[in-house]
Amino acid sequence: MASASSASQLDAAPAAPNYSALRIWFRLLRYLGKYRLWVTIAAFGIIGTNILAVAVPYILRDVVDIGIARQESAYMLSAGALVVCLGLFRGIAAFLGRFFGERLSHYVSYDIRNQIYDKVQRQSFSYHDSAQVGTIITRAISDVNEIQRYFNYGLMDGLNIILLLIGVIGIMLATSPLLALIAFTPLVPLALYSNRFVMRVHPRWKKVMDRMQVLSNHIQENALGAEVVRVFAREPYEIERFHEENQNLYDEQLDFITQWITFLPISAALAAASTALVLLFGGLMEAQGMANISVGLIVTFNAYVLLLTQPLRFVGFIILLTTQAAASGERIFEVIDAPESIVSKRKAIKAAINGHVRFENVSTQYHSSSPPVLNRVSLEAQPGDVVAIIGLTGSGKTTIANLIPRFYDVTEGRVTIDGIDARDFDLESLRSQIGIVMQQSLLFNATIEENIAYGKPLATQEQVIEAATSANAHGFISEFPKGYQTEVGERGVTLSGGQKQRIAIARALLIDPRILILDDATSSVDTQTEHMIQQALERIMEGRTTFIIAQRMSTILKADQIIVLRDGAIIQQGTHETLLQDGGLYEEIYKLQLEEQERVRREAIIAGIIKVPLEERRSTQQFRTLIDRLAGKYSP
Amino acid sequence: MAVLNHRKHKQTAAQDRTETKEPTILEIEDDHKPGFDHDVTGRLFTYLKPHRRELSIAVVMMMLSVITNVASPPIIGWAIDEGISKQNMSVLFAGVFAFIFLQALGFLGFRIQLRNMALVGQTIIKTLRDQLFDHIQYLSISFFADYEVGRLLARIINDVNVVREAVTFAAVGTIREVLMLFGIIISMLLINVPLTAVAFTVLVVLMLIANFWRVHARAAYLRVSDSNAKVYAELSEAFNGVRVTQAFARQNHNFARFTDEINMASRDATERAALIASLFYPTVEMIGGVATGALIFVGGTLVLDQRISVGVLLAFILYIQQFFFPIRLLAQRYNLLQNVIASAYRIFKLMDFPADIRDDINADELPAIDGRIRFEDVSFRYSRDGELVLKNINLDVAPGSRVAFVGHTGAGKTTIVKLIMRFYDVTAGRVTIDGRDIRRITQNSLRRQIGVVPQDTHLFSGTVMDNIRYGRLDASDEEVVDAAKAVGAHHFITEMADGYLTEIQEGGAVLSTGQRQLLAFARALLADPRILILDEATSNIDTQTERQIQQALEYLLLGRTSFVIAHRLSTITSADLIVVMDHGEIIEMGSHQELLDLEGVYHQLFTLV
Repeated sequence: MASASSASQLDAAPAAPNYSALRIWFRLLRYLGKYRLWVTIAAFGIIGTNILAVAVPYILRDVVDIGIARQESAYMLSAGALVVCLGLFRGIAAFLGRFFGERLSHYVSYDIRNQIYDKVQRQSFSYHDSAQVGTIITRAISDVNEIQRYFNYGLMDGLNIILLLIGVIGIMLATSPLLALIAFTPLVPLALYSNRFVMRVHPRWKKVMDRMQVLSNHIQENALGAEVVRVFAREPYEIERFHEENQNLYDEQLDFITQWITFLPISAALAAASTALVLLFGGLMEAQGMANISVGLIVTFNAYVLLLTQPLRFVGFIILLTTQAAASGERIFEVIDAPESIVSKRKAIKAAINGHVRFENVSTQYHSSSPPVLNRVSLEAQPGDVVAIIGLTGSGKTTIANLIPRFYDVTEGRVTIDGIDARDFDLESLRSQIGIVMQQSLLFNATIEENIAYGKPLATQEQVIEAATSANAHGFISEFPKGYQTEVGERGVTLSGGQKQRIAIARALLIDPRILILDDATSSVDTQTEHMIQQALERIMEGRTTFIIAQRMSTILKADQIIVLRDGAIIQQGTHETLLQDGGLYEEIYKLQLEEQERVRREAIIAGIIKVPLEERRSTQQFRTLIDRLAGKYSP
Repeated sequence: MAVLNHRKHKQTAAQDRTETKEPTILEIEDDHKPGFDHDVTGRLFTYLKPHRRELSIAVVMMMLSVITNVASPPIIGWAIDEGISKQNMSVLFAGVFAFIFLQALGFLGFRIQLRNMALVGQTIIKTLRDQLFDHIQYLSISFFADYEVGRLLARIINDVNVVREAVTFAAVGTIREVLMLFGIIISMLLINVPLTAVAFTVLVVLMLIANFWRVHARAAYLRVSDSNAKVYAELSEAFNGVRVTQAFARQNHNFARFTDEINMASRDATERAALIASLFYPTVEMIGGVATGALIFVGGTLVLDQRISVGVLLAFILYIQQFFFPIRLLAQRYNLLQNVIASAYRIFKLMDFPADIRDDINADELPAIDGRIRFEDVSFRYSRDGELVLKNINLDVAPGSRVAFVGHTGAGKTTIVKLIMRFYDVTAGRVTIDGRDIRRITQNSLRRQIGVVPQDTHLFSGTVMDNIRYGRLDASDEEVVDAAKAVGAHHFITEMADGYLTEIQEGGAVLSTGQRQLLAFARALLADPRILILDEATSNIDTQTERQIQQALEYLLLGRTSFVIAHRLSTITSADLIVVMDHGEIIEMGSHQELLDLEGVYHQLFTLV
């Protein structure tokens, strides 16, 4: 059934990845290849367990028919000893089957998890722009667990049950075909019923999961919006909604459980029916004096039926696991198979760079259908130049910065570094020579020292301190009780925005990059911190080709080259003086920026009362003079 | 800035609490020692009480199925001995029918038992979830500062699930297994004493092994869950920080760390747990084999001596196999029960955690107010030994006037407005609304007349319409649209494909900061409060939206008593009353002109820039 549907899918959409349940299943099995030896041991263990399990009732028959009937006490001793021996061997076999089965399931999940981790880490920015972290984590955790459970229980116990069935059925048929067939009659409806059960229980299980999701989303929202809820006095409303959702979950869960409640007794009853049939018909046949049928045989058959009952109850569970594994496998393979859009070429160049950056007629678009984000952009930065990029939100500033370390690829034109196309560089080699300070300084859950050394894990402590000092971060770091060994809380919560930014600057500085990219955002820090950051930035730009997405006039004034962007195109380019002479957008932005800056500064000072550093006041004065001068110059 | 401010309070609040030894909810949770706790188990049983009827039926049904299970082997034995061996067909028929009857009875009982247990279990977890959620609605805002969302989810979703296991399957199952063991032993004793002695020896050995295993398995599983948590944390961090990782070309280093340390540790822990589990079950089976062998030898000899029949021997062999199941389950269940106690402990502690702010027993409903607010000698600290965050604040705000709070981070601006909403209670002095102490009125009636627009807008999943309507649930669609129009949000809402029916994603990701704030304005406007509290957003918003927000703000504040934590110059200068704060004190107060005339700090700053 699965293969048929996959074929039709293939015809309909040849380009789409084809994930039929059967293919996923086979692909999952391929993960076992590495552990062939363990699979073999586990399989032998399972087979051994079953053979030994099947043998015991057989001996039992001889005990009754030979030992007891012929009054041979020696036979009893040897049969007892044999059963003990078999029990010991069976224990060993069961251990091997179980342990290696479970072990390989954990090793496979280890492998799959590594694969996902590696893959996701290497995916380009455009992948991460649309991917949700929560979803990927769910796949790496829950879906992998599902696969693990499948390998451990589904596959191993499935194998076990199949072997047991084959073994027991074979022996029963060989010993007495008629009685065996009679014993099996209830097994047919049992199999059919199990199948129907799985069909019914699976969609209900999904519904339960959905309801659960609704419930947890509500809890999350409620906690995150606790203030809003209280402010609007909406507690009763929230409670009412929750109770309703909770009731829905209750209903679905009960519906799901009802399936099990019906399945379990019926399957058990069918198995018991087998015992009754063996007793009844076995007894009748024995009375008829049929050949082969002895009291011992009936005892044996009863033992066999008992041997089958327990595992047969699990058949439904195993089928369920297999269906769920296919669904999980699909989700995992979606992540693993997603194409990597940005990779190093086969013979990529690994070279030390000088920092000569050129954009030649570069156009980019994020999706083939969307309008270009950059439109025929050309620019050139000599080694050591400072290039300031300005423009309104959405004009393409960050995109220019993202093209240099090749976080995205150009759609047209090319970006060269020292005359070599960025796409010809080895990614790792290129990026390790570019330092980036992003708008949001994300720090990791590790010590400050480890965070600064993120790009250069082998850096010495002196180097770390040196970088921190240049970034104006050494002061506040050494004020912490644990200094550089202070643990940065998850997502850097224990540090203020300005402190995080300075650590991010130190981090970029430590790799001593030839090219520096700064997304200059200091909106959320107070005046004093802004000043510290400003100083740090100026220090580290020295001697490096720097691209700075500028928000502050002071930075722009110092640039060797200013790029003015609008709607993805460069509309003005030059130094501050030449651009002012040109007039146009630059002049407008310049004025706006100054005005804005003045307003922000006043507000910051009012909000920050009292704490205005002297030098800041002076620089404000300078700005005012500058505005006055410009106003005089440009007013008609 | 206000976020930072808030966090700072959080920290000091937490620190102070540890100093005064008032345990926080987190400390209470960590305090639990593994093992059985009679208070917790006792309380769990109270949840079973209302379901006495269903549970008694379940227990009776369970006994029935135990009896049928225990009785089946001797009946089979009897059918073989008296029926088949002696060629007595009527005995065989009687035996088989007795067996079928017993089994049918047993399965009927099994079904009823499962059904009742499921009903009870589900009802109890529904009750627990409802109770937890209700309690959380009642808790004060300070609670949420300590208790992260993930933790809350773990309580209401996971812990409750764990508890369900206890109250249904584990509780009833344990009774079942114990009964089963006793039933088997008794019926063995009735049938044959020497063979019972053999079986009993096996039982004791099994129990010793089960106990030994239990201890080791628990330790191993604790390690597994510990290492799994680390994998989770690492994945979350790695995927969230992937851009930085790529920028620093650190993929290889990270990958090596993941495979060789974190993921490897998890694999090793699970492998060890697997080893322990794999040793236990085969050992049980091995002992089963040994026991069967011993029975065959001893029992067979007894059969030869004509002291017992073949049927008796067979019954014993069947019994031995029935032994393992309950013992295995009991061993597993013991560990499960420990988890359950731990979960239930956390659930109950959360349920018992008192709200900081409670309604007075004699609290009145606050009638419709004019909106006069007075602070009378108000001092405040977040905890008993903490520093005073507000000192002797006196403030009298006439109905309809606009107050702007100005001051640096940590000056106490946010705290003042939180006291108006009674998110916290004052340490000294009092806050009155229209002359009534806010501690003498119910929180709900107070807050219903206060509107708040926080700095960061929280939107709920649902449509834009739903989110605006959150301000007043009985508002008609027209009223919602009117509110949106009034604050200038109508335009961008109708520009979206689904207009007012646009679904807002988790966290409101599809809207810009400015747009979200406009929605918050509309929401507040719809609630039409007499008093409005506004924390101006500091984040960068483009000029056009900025202007829109400014206009909307004017409209929103019109005719209401308003308190604004001001960041914008225009908001400050247009206020009726500017309150300049420093270190928890009001240092200057008055209108813009008055403060300028005063030539104090405000004037100094204003002219300096």
